[in-house]
Order: sequence, then C-alpha cells, then structure tokens
Amino acid sequence: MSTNSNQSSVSRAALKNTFRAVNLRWLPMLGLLLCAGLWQAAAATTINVTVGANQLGVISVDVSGTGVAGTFSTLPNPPNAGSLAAAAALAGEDHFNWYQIVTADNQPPKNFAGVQLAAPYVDVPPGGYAVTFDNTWGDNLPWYYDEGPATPAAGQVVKPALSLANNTTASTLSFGDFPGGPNGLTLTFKTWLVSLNADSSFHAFEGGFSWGFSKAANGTVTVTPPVALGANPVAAEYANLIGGFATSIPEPSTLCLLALGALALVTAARRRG
Amino acid sequence: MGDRIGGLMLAAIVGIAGAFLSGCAGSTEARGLKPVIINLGFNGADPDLTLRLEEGIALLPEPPSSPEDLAKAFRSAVAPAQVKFAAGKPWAIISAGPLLDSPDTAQVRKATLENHTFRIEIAHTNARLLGAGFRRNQPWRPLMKLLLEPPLPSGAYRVEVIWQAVESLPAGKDLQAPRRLGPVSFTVADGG
Repeated sequence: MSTNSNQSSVSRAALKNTFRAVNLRWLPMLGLLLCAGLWQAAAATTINVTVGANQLGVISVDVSGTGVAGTFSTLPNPPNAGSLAAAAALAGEDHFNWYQIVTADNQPPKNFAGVQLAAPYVDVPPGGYAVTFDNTWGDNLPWYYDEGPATPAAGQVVKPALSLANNTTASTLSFGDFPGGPNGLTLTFKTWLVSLNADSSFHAFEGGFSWGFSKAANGTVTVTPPVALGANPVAAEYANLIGGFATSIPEPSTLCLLALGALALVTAARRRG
Repeated sequence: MGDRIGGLMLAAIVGIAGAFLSGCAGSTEARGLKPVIINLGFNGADPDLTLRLEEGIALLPEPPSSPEDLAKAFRSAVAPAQVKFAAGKPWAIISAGPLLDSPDTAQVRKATLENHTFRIEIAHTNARLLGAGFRRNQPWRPLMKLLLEPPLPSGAYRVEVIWQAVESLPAGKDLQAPRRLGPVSFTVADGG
C-alpha cells in the first residue's frame, strides 16, 4: 500500500515537471485514447460464457432505445460450431433461458394472485402480473421467456413473442426488455443467462449483467447501460425468491400418472358416495 | 290505385337495386380485399429492425413471407412509379405501423377500394397510452400486408392507411387522433 502511495506521489511530481511537454508530444495519442475510451463506453457489454476450458459463447447486451437488447451467441467454431444445442450439450445441459429479477422498484406491481410485490422479485412472477397491471400471461417457471404449457387465466393473453422458442435461433438466444410505467418510475434489474435441463429445471447460472430504467417526472426515459455481474445470484436473489414457482415442466408420463391418480380418486369418491 | 302502388313499388325496387349496385361498385372493384396484420417481433440481434422501422407505405413485388425479411424489404423499398403484374409474381401493399408493446394487439377494421383508392383502416390497442406498466416487455411493430391480385384494371391508384389507437378491440373507443399514412400513388400498366 505504501509503495503504491510512493509511486503515486513520484508520478505526480514527475507530471508536474513534464506535463506540458508530455501533453504536447502525446496529444494525438491522448486523442486516440480518448476516442477509444468513448468508443468503449458506447460499445455493447460482452461477457464470455465458459464451462471449464470450453467457451460456450458470448453474451452481448446494450442499451437500445428505451430498453436493453442483446443476445447469447455460441461460437462459430467447434466444438460448439455455432449451435446452441451443441453448446448446451458441451456443458451437460439441454437449453438456455434468462433469469431476471427486479432489484429496485419504486412503484412495485402486484402479482397475478393479487399479492403486492416488493423488490427483489422475479420478473415475471408465477402466472404473470396482476391483469390490471399487465394482462400478459407468464408460465409458472422462474425463467424470463415462457417455456411451460400455456395456461392463461381469464383476462390474460398469451404472447407467443415472449416464448423461448420465438427468441431462440440455432445459434442465438435473444434478450430484450423495454419496461415502462408512469412518470417517476425507477427500476433496476439483474439478469443472468441460465442453463436448464430438458425438463426446464435449473442447471447453472452462466453469467449476467445489471441495468436500470428510470422515467423522470417529465417523462424522459433514461436507461442505465448493462454492467457485467461478477457473481451468481445470492440466496436473496434466487433461492429465497423462487418458492412459488414450479421447478420443472412435468414430463408427459408424469402427467399421465397424475391424471390416472385423479381418476382413481374420483372413482373412489363416487363408490363411497 | 293498385297500378299506382305497384308502379311505386317497382320504382322503389329499381331505386334500391340501383343504389345497391352503385354502392357495390367499390366492393366490386375491391373483389374482397384481405389485408392481414403481420407481427414484426423483437430480435435482440437486430433490435433496430423493429424499433427504428419507419412508419409508412410501400409496394413490394413478391413480398417475403417471414416478418423480418418483409421488414427488411420494406425498409429498402422505393415507391415504384409503375406496377406491372407478371404471372406468379404478386405485388403487395405493405404498411408499417406504430411501435407497440407486448400486451397490444392490432386488427384490420376496414379495407376498401373505391375510385382507384385503396383505403385500409387498422385499429390497435396501446397499453402505454392507457398508462399501463411493464416489467417484461418486448416491443413489436404491426405490418399490414395486402396482396394485389391481378388482373387489376390499368390506371393510377392511391393508397391510404390509417392506424387508429383504440381502448380495446374490436370495438373500443378511439384513444387519440389516428395516424394517417399516405396517400402513396402508383400506376398499373396495361396488361397489369
């Protein structure tokens, strides 16, 4: 620590004596560096997604209009060869989705069951939001794009554009979120790429980013650019939030067993009656 | 008296029939216009295609079937002065509408062809105008596609497309002044 301090003071002293000369000599370079800095500030945030020695792909996200947009793209070379499926298989997984939480919300809505939400909460809550807030149906899984069977309740609409299938190509998983609401709204989010098993159950977090949205009193929207997150969600951001969600999509055989069980119960009840 | 009543009835029938045929002139010309709404969804790899596609009207020969390709063709379309139909190569009138949010829907309210003027009215909801909140929201843009089926009588045509925000579909009240696009003109050449 003291060494750093010394070095710093030496540098400052040196700068005092040489600033003018250095400034003139390196002015073009300084300009270039400044441009590079600005370029970097305007560029998308990229996060390499690796499992062991294998790079599965790259998350690239940026501000786009009044929201955030990006993709998780697999690498074009083997062993992934530009295929999401190959990338998933490489890590012993089946497919990818996103997991997003709202970490701050000064106008929190209610969930579909009518329970008042408070940050942090999963975006989208099980079944979706209160119909009066947003009538778009959401599945019962905690993942951002719907992949469970569509079971909209009265007043809800299913939006295929929000299904995982419609946001996935052979080599990319898209991401986009454009929040909105009354003036004065302030939101912050954390979003992770998540790898899932065939039944949509959780496998692993694969890197993420945080970002923000605010709408001033005069209606001006400001989007805080995405910043890479250095860690997976802590318990307060995942384990403690997903209690109300399904953990997987039941397989057809499981559904058949459940149906048979229900039938047996009904038959038994009738016999008793 | 009976003859007089009969005569009046005949005149009324002829009048009604005349008015009916006259009124049908437009729909005869229209031959059952069937505009459709295509959802240009959001793609994180190319968000600008949806976000920044300019509202307007274009005529496209052989319109692509995928929404993304249709939007790209629309984006680079130049209004043609003359439309000449070739066998198996349909033209289409395309109109890009306003940017909407996930909960919104759009549907064609009315489509007519009268006096060589195509007039298409589209109603769409606009949850944002109603003060709705969004947390998970992906914008999309409705594209109206109307295939021009030959033979279309030669001559000059005009196209007007009206996008109207409404409270709800199908019959909710209008939310604000409609966005009127066009008129755009084109000519169908002889043999078109």
